[in-house]
Amino acid sequence: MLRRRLIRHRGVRKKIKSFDLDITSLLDILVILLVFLLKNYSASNVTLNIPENISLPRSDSQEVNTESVVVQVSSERIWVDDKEVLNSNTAKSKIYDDGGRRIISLYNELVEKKNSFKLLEKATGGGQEFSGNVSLVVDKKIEYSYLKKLMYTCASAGFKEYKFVVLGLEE
Amino acid sequence: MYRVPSHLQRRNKERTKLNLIPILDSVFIFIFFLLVSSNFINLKEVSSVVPILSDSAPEKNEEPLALTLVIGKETIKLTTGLNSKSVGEFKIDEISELQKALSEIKANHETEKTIIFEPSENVDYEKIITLMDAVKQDSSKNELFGNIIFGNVME
Repeated sequence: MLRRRLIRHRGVRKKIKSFDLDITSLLDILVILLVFLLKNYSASNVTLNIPENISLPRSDSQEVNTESVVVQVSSERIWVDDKEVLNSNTAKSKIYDDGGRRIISLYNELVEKKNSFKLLEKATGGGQEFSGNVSLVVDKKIEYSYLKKLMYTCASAGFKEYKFVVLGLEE
Repeated sequence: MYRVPSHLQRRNKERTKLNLIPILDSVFIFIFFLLVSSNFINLKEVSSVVPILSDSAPEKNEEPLALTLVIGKETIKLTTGLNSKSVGEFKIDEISELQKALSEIKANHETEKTIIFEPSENVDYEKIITLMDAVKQDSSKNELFGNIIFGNVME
C-alpha cells in the first residue's frame, strides 16, 4: 500500500540534522601531551651536539649549561664547536708539543677562537667580555692522562674555567 | 480558555554548546612550540678552575687546609696541610666513607670550600666525575667542598 503524506504535512521540509563531531577526547589527549612537553621544556638556549661515539658520564649535578666554546673529545678525535681539529688515525704531522703536554691542533684552534672573541669585544665596545669558559664533552672511558693534556692545552690557550658536560640523573 | 501569562511560560531554551575549535587550535600551536624547544636529554655541567699560582703571602697567619684527594686506580688518599698529612685512605668505591671523612673535616673548617684533586694517569674520567659529585655534597645534600681544582694539570 502506498504511503501517502497526510495533507497537513504537505509543504513541510524535513530538517537535515548536522553531524556533530565530539572532540572532547581528542582535546584530553592533546592536554596530556602538552603537560608532558611542558615538563621537558628547557629555558636554556645552549645547544650541545654530542658526536655518536661519545658516551657521557652520569652525574647528580644540577648546574645548567652555560654559553661557551665546546670541545668534544672521543678516544680518536677532537672537535671544537663541531669542527674536527684532530683525528689521530689520519694525523700526519706532530700531535703534541711542550714536552708532550699540549695538543697542537687544539691549541691553535682555541687561540683563534679566543682572538676572535677579543676582537668582537673590542669592536662592540661595552659588549660581553671573554669569559674563558670551555665546555668539555668527553667520553667517559678516556683516562686522566689524556684529560690532563686537554686541560693543559685549554689553560695554555687562555681558557681557565672548565665545564665538564655530563648526563644529569632523572628527577 | 485560560492561557498561561507570557512571563510564566517556560521557553524552550536552546542549549549552547562550547565551541572547542579555537581551544584546539591554541593547544596545537603550544604543542608545536614545545616540541621544537623541548630537551629530551638532560645535560648538566660540573665546573672546575685552573690552579693559579700566587707570589703574595696568605692573608691570615693560619696554615692553609690544602685538602687534597690523591686518586689511584683502586684507592683514594685524603691529605691535608702543606706537608700532605694523611687523614684517611679508602677504596675507590667507598664513597660514603669518603663523604663521612669530608663531613668531619668540613665541621672543623666551615668556611673552606676548596679541594685539590690529584688523579693518577690511569684513572677513568667517569670515576673522576663520580668523585667530583661525592665531594660537592654528602648524601644528606649538605654542602661540602664545591670548589674543585686539579692540582697536577700544569705538571
